[in-house]
Amino acid sequence: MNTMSNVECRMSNWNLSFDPQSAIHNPQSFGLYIHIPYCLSRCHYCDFNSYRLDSDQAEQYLQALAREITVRASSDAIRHRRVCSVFFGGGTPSILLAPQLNGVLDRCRAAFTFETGAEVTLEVNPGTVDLPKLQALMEGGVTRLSVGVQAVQDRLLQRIGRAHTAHEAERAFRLMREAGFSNINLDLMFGLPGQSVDDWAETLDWAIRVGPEHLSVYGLILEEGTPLDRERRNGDIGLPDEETEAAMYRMAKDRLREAGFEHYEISNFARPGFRCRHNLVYWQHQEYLGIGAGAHSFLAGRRFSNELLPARYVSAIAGRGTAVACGEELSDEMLRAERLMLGLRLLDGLELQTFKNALGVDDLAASDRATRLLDDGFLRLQDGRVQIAERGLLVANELIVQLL
Amino acid sequence: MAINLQQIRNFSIIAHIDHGKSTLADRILEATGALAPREMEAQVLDRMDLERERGITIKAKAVRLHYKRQGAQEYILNLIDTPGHVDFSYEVSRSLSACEGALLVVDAVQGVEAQTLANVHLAMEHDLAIIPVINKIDLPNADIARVKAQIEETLAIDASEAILCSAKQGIGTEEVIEAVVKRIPPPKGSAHAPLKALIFDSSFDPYQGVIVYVRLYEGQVRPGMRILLMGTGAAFEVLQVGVFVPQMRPADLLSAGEVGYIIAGIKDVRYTRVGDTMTAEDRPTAEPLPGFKEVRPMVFAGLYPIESEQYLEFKEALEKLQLNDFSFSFEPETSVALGFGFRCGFLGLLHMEIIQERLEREFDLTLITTAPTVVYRVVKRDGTVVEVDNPSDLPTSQAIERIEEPYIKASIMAPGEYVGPIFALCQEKRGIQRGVEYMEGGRIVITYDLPLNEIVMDFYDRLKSATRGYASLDYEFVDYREGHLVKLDILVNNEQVDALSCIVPKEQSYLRGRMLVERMRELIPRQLFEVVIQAALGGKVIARDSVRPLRKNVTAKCYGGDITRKRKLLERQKEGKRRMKQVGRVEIPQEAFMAVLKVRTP
Repeated sequence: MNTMSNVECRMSNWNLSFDPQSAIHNPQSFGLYIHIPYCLSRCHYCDFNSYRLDSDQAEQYLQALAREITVRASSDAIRHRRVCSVFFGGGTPSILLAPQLNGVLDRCRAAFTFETGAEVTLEVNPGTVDLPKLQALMEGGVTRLSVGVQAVQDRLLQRIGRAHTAHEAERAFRLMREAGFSNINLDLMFGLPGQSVDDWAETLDWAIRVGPEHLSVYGLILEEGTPLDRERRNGDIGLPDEETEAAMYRMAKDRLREAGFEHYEISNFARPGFRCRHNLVYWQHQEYLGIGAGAHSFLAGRRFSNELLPARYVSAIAGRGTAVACGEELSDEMLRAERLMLGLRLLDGLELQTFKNALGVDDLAASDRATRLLDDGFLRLQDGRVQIAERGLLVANELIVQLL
Repeated sequence: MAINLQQIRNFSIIAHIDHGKSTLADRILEATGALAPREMEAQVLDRMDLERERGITIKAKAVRLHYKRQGAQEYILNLIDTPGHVDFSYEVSRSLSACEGALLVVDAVQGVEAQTLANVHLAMEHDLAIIPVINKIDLPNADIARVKAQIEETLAIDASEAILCSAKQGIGTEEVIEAVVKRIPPPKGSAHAPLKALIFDSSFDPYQGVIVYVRLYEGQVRPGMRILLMGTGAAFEVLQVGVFVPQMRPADLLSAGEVGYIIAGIKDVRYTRVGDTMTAEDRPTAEPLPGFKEVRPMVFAGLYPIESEQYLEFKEALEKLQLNDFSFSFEPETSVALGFGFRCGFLGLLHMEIIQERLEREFDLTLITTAPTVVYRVVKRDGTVVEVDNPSDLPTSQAIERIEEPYIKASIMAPGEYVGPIFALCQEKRGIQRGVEYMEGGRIVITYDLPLNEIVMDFYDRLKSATRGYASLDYEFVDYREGHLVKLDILVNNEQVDALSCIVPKEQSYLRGRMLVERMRELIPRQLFEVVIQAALGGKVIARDSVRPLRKNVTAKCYGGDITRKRKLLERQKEGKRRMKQVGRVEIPQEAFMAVLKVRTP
């Protein structure tokens, strides 16, 4: 259900005083990601680590989460450090009961030290919440909700396998406000099969009208092995062509900016002060700890991830307290490349020095590629930072690949 | 002490590609105990990885085998392996001349093919005793009777005593070896006459220098002796002689009739040309062996390192590789588009592919290869003649009196039902029919004179698809003939890319230009800018197409902190760029440089 498009934006709000630099210079803080691998049904474009909810297994799973949290909190890499953001992603975390979710959060608070004002985000599917549940989550300490809306045309929602209607999405949003949530993200998608430019305009207008603090706007990517991808292989499924998709992206940029949103990351827009803290952890190359099946961590220059299957995860935790299944040590070169790849996604870009380090040059002129991309207006230098310029946003990967 | 000649048999195995020659060689090695089965790596004689992967033997090798018949005397069998591809037909001919007999392996399903025929003719020219061996008899669709009839009718060889075997299953190996002993005559020649030996191969060892593979016809050779290579005039002192068992095993001497190797501190394979005669410096033989010729590269292509910093490394690699294979040549050349590289000459297309792969594999280089071309002979208005092996070097049309191009005689063998498509193809490829022969079983042999350039293009692929893979092809160089040829230039974003120029028949030039441009459009990936591709004849644009600019390449998700996945995605995209050369602002992939080969004229 609330599967995935939105997972990318596991954001918690880092509101009010946003300073992109402070986190980098504060090695004490880290992001905490908690994976809930369950959904009511699976969306046709989803390739995330998610399974149909099984209540018995979910109970065991929650116990395993609790144990992993305790074990991790006592590790050297984590002790004495502060959590700046918690993000419940999935799957559809909101299909669990409020007490279950609050229980995990309580366990986190007991085990880790939280920064003052640390944000706690929960991914929500519009069909999985009612007012009492939302109120309970609010009381439990969830400060930010991220809602998978995707589109406001029921035929499109049905087409991609979403288990809610546009009406339900709007109703859920109202309930969230009623429960007191003042930091809400909505996920929207363009480039859907059968979606017209008018459909997209309607979706954007709707979003602006309901007025969330944050919007994530994603182009549909057909990941291999998903039902939608299989359909496409078998024939035309009415995907908008590239030019239309580009126009949709431009439309989102223009309308949302006009409506007062800051475009701060390729796919993300926020009201001033509501940039997504959790995603900034990723883009700014800060460290994070992933708890749960298939969750990814980045700690002490190492990336690692847990067992994907919930059952295997549960038994690994029961056995040894951790469930790491694979990992890699990152060389300095890889770290520099990652910093470039991630940092350029932010419209603020990278500090010139960081950029030069990543390219391994002392002088920009020494990099033909960089010079050319700057000359051609795909990159720009602004206030001592290298940024992807407007015309480069949709081809960001190409730019990064050329620079790497 | 010299070995009794009566105990020696020198033989080759000849076969069409994939008929099982190397497998049979393995079985013979096993059966004679040259290698215990557990030591056997499939197809021992094919030493280079590349050869094993491609299932072809590139360089000839020789192995000495000991065979003891039950209760009888011991025999020394020298098995000389030959390359199985038309590119290397001169090497085949030299290897055959080192033998007294040959096993002719014919696939029990495929039957006689063009190369079988060509090899048999070679063997007959050398008066070899030919023993037909029908291989793969274990296959369900083996048709022994039909193949026997083919051998008799097409090759004029008595097939009544053909040996039936399955090298794969090890069936018939013993009979094959017995036949070698019984039906191939022992070598002749006096051990007391002046040394007369044939060089049939050589290889380079970084510690010992050139290892020369020889067959002795007369005389003896031993360490300390000074030898003279009659073709090149070079003289050396012999340091070691020996035989391959199949490892190198030193011996006191080699004598008339024997096959083995000689090490003489030779630093360069260019002195030890295949086909040359080796003799004693102080007591030379009266006359060299016949048939020595210099092998000349027929097909040329520019090879360029993608990273210009690899130029020196590349040059060293070429030098090292040439130590082992003198049949390819290289000369520095500069391309406006590709920078510094080398124009390399090869015996044929397969040879070219092999060299390129060896350069990349053994020397860890990444190369761009331009489309291969033949050597054109250009007669200029001022009467001078220039040889052009790079289309961009073609003089301006005003300066040209005429252009001549190399022609080959192609022999195509196929089932009769394909005669129509083969004629049509040869016609399209500017062929001149020389003959059609109908053979037993409804097969035909079609002979055409064709411009070599058409072979270098897509002739073989087209032939295969026109005949559903049933046709086989053999060819040999005939002569140079005048052609109505023009240079077709390609412009990318209004700049001429010299490495993409090609020489085409005038009457096809418009069509080719149009198709080439279209093909390039498909092969050049979309970039940040529009890429305009034009074809031009003498400065006049005749075709235009463009690659639309890339509109969208952006990852939406960050996959829940799975940065590794995102990085790998970008690394894959990066890897895709590795095979591309930056020409101006445009990245052109390797395949686009070969596009000219893939253009079909309808």
